[in-house]
Amino acid sequence: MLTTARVLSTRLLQVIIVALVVMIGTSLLVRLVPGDAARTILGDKASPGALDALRQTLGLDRPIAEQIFISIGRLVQGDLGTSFNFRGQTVTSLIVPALLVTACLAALAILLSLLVGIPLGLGLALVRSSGADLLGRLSLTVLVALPSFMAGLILLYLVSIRLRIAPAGGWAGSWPSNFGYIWLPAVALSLYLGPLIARTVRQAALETIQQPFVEAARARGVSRHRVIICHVLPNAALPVIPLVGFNAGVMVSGAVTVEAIFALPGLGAQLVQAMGTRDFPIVQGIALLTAVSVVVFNLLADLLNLSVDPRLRSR
Amino acid sequence: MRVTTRVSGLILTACAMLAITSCESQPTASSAPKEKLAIGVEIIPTTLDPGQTYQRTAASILQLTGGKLTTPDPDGKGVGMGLAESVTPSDTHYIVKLKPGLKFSDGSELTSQDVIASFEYFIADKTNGLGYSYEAIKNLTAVDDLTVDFELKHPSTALMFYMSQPQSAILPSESIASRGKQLYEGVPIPTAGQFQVESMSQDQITLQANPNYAGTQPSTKTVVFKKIVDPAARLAQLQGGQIDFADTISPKQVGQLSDPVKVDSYSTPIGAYHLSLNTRANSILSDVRIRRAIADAIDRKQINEVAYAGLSEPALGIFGGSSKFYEPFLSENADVAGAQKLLADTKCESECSLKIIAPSDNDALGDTAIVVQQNLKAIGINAEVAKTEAATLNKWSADGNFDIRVGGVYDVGDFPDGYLAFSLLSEYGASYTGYSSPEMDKLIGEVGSTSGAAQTAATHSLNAVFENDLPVVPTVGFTIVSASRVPADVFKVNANTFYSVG
Repeated sequence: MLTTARVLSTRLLQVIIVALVVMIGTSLLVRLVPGDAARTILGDKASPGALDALRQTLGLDRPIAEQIFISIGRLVQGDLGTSFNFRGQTVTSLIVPALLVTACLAALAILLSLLVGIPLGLGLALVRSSGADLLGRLSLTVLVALPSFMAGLILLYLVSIRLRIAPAGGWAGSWPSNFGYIWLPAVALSLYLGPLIARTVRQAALETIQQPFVEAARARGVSRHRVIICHVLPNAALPVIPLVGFNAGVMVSGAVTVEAIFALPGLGAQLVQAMGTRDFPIVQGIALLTAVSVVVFNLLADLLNLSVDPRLRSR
Repeated sequence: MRVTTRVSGLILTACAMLAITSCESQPTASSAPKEKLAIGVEIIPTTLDPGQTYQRTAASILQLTGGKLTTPDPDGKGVGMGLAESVTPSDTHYIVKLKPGLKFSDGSELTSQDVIASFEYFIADKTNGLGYSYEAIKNLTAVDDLTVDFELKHPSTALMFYMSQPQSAILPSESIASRGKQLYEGVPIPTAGQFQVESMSQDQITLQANPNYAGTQPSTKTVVFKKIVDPAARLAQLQGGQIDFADTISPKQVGQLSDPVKVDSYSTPIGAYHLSLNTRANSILSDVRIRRAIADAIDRKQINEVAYAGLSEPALGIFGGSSKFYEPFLSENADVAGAQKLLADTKCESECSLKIIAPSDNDALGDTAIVVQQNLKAIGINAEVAKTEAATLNKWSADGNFDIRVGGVYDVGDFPDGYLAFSLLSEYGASYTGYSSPEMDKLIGEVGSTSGAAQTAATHSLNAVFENDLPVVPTVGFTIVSASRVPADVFKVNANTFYSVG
């Protein structure tokens, strides 16, 4: 109980520190990147007078320190500000729908990775040193090395354009129709995490099988299936929890590229557009949300780990 | 180990692609008129304010909704009547007579008061990026419910053309009065164009036919514009049948198109892709002899073939090939010997280095940069190519942090003053070149304020000054390549850059 409280308090402190650092850091960094938001909104044909007027409207004529101070002041009040580009629309109203898309994509990819990776890793451990194990390990290595965008392009070409069993991108805008559009990008994204999970489970299962309690269970006459399901699997699957937690950030960055390939209206697409147009409030909002999400995801992974592994609670 | 795994990944990918390409399956298609069209575009409007919507596809979407006094001809060479029954121009007055019985999409009447309120709103908005459109207007007076007198500060042949553009769409005076500066925020205001905005999000805008439109009703009642940023993703969705038209694809992708998807390309009547040469004192290109040598060294035919799949044409003058003001003086092919001769006694006589900048998100301009790099190598100029995204590119350009910028300027009609202003006028930075010539500025003013023989003479003089100074070097015509699975009479992009919905 004390351990859980310690983890919670540590992580909550982390959330606050991360939020502050990200807010100040991104506020500063996005303003140091060359480019003029007013120019990207009004284009090449705008007169210097119109550009100046728009800069004034957007508050870009103020010193950078003052702009950052205003941003942080708003954040403390729970206000992420208003978009430069989508005039009159708040950052929150713009990024929440995109966050939902990315969250669904990442969640589905993690689910697929778990559903495929754990049984596959366990299976490979059970047939260790065989031809199937060798082929399986080689395939997993290849898949881990395959970048998400490449996996996305291959799947897009094969499944959508050639086989025509999934749309070649887009978004229905309503559930459950959205599943028709999200499953293929989720498969593309899971082609990184799934093999990682399978390799981890295989290794952990091989170690578990050698443990005395497994030998003891066998000696007691427990069936092979029961030994695998009740004794090997729970122990082999334990390292998967921190693995998924630590890869939350990787999943988000992978989602950025996969979203672009499948034209999903997620955070990745929005971030790219916001950076391109120097829409600072949106960039800051997404950076903050992503950073906090990763910390929270790690917190959940820690808590889950604590709840399923009694050894950690006793430390 | 990492190298081994990545190599394995690449080999597997290559094998997969080979296996995949071996199995062909033809997509099905329909060429019948459609009730609903889905169009894939790189950018949709982020606001319904045309004054802050300069990008071509976004402006074209707003062009479908806005009712304008005049209408651009599809070929971009002239304008016809729109909401106006007649426009009678004189030196300092435009008398505009509206068609009787005009209505906005909500059924309310459109009168001269709406015209005046609209233009007064546009002029008063200091953040309007297209504010130059109204520069000539001095005063607006309602003669009666259907007639407006536009009093001008000076003669302007282009006002008729600006009246046909999205930034001049007539708005209900009631909305202007009640919403003020928040005119374009919240629920879309009624329109008088062919379509009205049904819904709008960050990724999609849906237009519905306007039942009160004064012109011909389209057979297509609903047009959905979907934002698909990546051109390859647009093409994939087009091939997969999710969309009917992919606006702007890379010319490199033309070879990948298969039935029923067809290429749809057009060149604007005025404008060209060009190389902006940094004429500022800090650049080696402040020497006009080197600029002329570069103009001679460029192989425009090669650029057209490599970067535009042969779909454009070499641009041999400042105006586009189909412009009535076009006076070619450059060569289609590279003249290496001539260029080297021009470099004699310059800083580039033996060898010199230049920085070429190009946008990273435009394949054709990136390829142009590579061809130019090779062309310059042939005359002993070493060029480094730097590609970056638009905002950084604009910053570098505005700061003069380049020698050659690969880009282009076009206008939607053969009315040269706007095009010339953005290309060569010192006030607007002359395509980032820093070029400043009082003589050129004066001639641009003359071209914009004259017509007939006087305008022709001014344009001829301007062409001569341009040929002498060469702040920008035209490469090929301003061509946009798109792909479609519907016939052109159902949906297409006209040479005036605007969409046509059948």
